[in-house]
Amino acid sequence: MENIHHKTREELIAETERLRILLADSDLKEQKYFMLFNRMIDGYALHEIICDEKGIPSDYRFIDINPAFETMTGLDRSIIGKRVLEVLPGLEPEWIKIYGKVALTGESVKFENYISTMDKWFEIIAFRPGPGQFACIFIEITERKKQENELRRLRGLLANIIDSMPSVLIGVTPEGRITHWNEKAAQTTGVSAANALGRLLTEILPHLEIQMHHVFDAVSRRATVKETKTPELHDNQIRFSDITIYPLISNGVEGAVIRIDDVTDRVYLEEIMIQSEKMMTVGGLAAGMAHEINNPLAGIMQNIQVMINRLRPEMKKNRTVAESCGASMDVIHDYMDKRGILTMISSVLESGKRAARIVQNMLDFSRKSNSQMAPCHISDLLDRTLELVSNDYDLKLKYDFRKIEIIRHYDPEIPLVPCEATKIQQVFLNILKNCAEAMASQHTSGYTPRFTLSISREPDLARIEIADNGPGMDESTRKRIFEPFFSTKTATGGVGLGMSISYFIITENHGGSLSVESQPGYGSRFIIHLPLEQRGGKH
Amino acid sequence: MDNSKIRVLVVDDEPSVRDSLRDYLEDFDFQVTAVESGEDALEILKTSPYDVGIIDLRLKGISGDTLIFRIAEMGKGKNMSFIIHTGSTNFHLTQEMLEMGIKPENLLLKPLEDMTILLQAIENALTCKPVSPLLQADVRPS
Repeated sequence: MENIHHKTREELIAETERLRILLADSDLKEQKYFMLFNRMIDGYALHEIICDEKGIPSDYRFIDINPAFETMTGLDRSIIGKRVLEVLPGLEPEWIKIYGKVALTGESVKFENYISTMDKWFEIIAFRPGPGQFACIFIEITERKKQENELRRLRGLLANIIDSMPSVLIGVTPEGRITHWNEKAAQTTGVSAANALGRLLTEILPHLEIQMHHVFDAVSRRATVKETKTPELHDNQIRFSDITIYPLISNGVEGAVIRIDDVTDRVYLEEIMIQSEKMMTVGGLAAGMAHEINNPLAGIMQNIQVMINRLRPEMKKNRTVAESCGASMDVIHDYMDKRGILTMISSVLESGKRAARIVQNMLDFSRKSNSQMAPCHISDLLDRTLELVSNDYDLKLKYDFRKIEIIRHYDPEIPLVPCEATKIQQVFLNILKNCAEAMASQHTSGYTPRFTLSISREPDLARIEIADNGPGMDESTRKRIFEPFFSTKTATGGVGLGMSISYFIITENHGGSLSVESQPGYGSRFIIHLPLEQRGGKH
Repeated sequence: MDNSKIRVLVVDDEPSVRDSLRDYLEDFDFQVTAVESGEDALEILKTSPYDVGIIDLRLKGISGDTLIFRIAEMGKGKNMSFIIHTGSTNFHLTQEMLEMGIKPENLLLKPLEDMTILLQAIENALTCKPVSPLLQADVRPS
């Protein structure tokens, strides 16, 4: 059986032809015919076609079969002389039609057929050895068929696996010609596999030119070459890739597989993690420092308050002690006032308060606030913050808040918004100051700085917009504005925490969102969304 | 409220803070004793009763919260109210402390930007009656 599988089509045809000549030769000796007939490894059956009254083939009769046919089909010589529909009543009429055509026209046919009852595949060659007759040669090809199917399945599987890879996989020859091009490669480059195969890799992906020496390297050293976080400019945005080159050395064919993974998101995520770790470190430090700083601050501020108390002329105790010293409280107070000491004392207290607030701000950043949420008039809050900011005149930046025009679009129907008023005020303050500073940097003549403040309602949300008509931001600034330690205020030495704290307050503490729309020359618009109902029992 | 009848025990290991509290309260006529440790506080409580304790949490020996429980164990807690005065901003009142009648408004964070808060807190502390079975709530003569 084995050598059958290696029989070429030409050999088979030659064999068939030989047989046909032999059969046609009536002079052939019976014995010789039988020898050939019996020794044939292929199944052989000779039939006579039976036609109905209209001359259409309707059945056929077995005239002769050889031992191989018996073995293959399990039928024996008792079928000789019988009609096929007697032997195999369930035979599909299609067969009779096909064989009938052979018997009547003399046109040979060759086909592959699976016989389910036998679970075997056959290649069948049918031809006409004489008028009204047809002979079939059955070659069992089950094994070959299985191998073919397996091969097809494996190819499909391999293609599927390669195509389902989230990585770009490119097979190249050592010269850099593309031999494989997976789905991801097609997606990423927009070049289909059909268009890529056979071309030089550098034609399609010129930026991989520098990788070609890695291909040679990988192939010559028979070692994997890996390069991580390779930057590449993509539509003005830096994308990062991990590029791995695996040498392919098998059956004397040299080449390499280049695997490219876009790791941009991961790189950015890592950066964010580093940032947040940094922030956690700051937070942890702040919490530890707070205690250490708060105690001496208490020493300063609380004693100052005792001093202020003890300088009050109206306090009876003060008067008694002053008199015992031979002075009146009024004289002492007068002296203190004239020498500016009372003002100095107040400014010590004020400085202490500022220091305490700085510590508090640092702490706010390191932990979730546990202070109370309460329903607030957002418009009042915004106006109060505006008032607060308008007293702020920054000498270094030379902006005067009172020169800023303010336009308000407040929806009068806006409901109370549950929030931590002081925190939200801090956010407003940060945004207003940032915008004011940006507008102060605009020196066009006839320019009037202007704030447009609007409060409106969206389903389940309050929308607060703070827009300026300042110089705006480019994309890179806009994208990074909420990052901790990102600061454009190099001149004033801002630490770059204000906006990130604001972001934290709105998103983490209030479950809202904070975003910014801006373009150079078109001002900036900060948009805050606050939920009208707080979830998670934060009341 | 006649402050001169109210006995206040200040416990803080930072001299400047301790003194500021004592001086301030004395100016408002309270009877103030200031000590630097929980151990000293327990010692003094053996002989003298106090109405209000202003307690720092991080002390050199036993901590402020331990001190409060020790006072309660001594049986001296039933007539005493507590104000916690701390620089540890991450401190939260425990369930036990709440049960002892220490309310969130009795938790004061250092530094006090306005010390009148302290006067208010003392008044609050005296009017709130401990409900803890540990302290066997009694009715303070008003």
